[in-house]
Amino acid sequence: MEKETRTPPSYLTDDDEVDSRRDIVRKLGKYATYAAPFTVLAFSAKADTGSSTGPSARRARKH
Amino acid sequence: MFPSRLAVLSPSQIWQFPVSECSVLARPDFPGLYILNRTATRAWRLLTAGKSFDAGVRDFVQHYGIPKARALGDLQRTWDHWEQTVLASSTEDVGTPVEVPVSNTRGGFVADYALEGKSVRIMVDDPGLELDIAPRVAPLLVESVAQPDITLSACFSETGYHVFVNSTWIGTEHEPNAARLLLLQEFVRSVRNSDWIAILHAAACGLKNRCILFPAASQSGKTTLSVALMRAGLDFYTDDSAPIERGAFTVSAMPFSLMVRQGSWPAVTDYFPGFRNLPVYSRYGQDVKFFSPPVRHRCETPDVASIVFSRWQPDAATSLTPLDSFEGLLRLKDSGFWIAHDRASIQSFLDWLQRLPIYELIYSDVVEAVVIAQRLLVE
Repeated sequence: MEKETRTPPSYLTDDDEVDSRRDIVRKLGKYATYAAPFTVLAFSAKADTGSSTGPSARRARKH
Repeated sequence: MFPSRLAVLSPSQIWQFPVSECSVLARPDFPGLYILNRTATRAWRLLTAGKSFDAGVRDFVQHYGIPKARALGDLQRTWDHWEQTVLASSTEDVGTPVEVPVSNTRGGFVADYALEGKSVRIMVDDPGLELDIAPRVAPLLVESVAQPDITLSACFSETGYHVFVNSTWIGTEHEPNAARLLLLQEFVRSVRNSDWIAILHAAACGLKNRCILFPAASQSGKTTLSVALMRAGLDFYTDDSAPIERGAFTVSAMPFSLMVRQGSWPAVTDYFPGFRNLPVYSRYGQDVKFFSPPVRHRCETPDVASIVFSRWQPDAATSLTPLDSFEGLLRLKDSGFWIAHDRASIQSFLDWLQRLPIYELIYSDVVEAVVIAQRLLVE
């Protein structure tokens, strides 16, 4: 007889594949708001056309 | 694993500002803001609390209920990105430019202007830049004066367009339209001896002592909307630079003509029939006209009632959608801004932004957009 494997309801195991948001909502309820972390740079410039030269612009291009 | 640099990270190295449930980071040595969404903010807090990478992964799995592989991948990518940006060491000397240009404007365009009792001389040695500036300042043109109060000059060299105020170098721009923006901002700042905490790349229209800021990308319908608002009786404050006064957070009105592209001519002519007789200029391959807004008795430094990100869209149903501060910041990033780069100024600006109503306005009928703007001004 196969041993039934029960998935704890409070979190997903490593083997779970949750690819769609619909699956997340269904399985996780209140945890459905996960969005991958992101960080965007808002470069501060008075003219802000992306064409400035000088140290500030060089750093901006690096970032 | 989180690298050992975490052990030496101190609050003094990175400025941190909470914004609703998200956050903004800034480096003292770099003129920009890093905007973090909610999950990145949580990751940053784990980082600065000294948590190990494994502990961070466990936290994300437990808090968000995501697979461990997902948490591990997302956090590793986030950390790698921060290593190259927010936490990157800076080897460049950013205190002074490599070479400070010297004002050597010779001949070319020279004319005098008057604003609020002060005389301003503009000297430009590049024909292209002259054509970008002269029509905008034409409403302020006066007879030549013996000794102007303020001199603004711009000269062109192989490194770009260099802008000066009374022989003090202000900045260098690679493009003439950017140099024009900088020069006209300095025009107003010098006359009013202003202390600006920020400049938003936005139009502004309003009534009495309140205005709405319309940050928007070029050719988004902003000028046509501004003209429609003027026709409806609103005051026009600025077309593309909205300086924000430190402390009061009022807008400093820019008294220059606005450029109207050919696509907007019919709409403007409907509102101001005299527009059809204005001369045509050629700018960057397009036919344009310069329109001087009607002068009314108005407040020169209006309060900001709200920020509206507007977009004309053919056949769209008019809609006004509230945005939170985080979304507002992302939109401002796209439209462009400058903030005085010190911790107190950034904190003050973000505090002000979080108090303001922020909206997205989508419309195809400009009359409906005007009605919405009028309603926002009286709320």
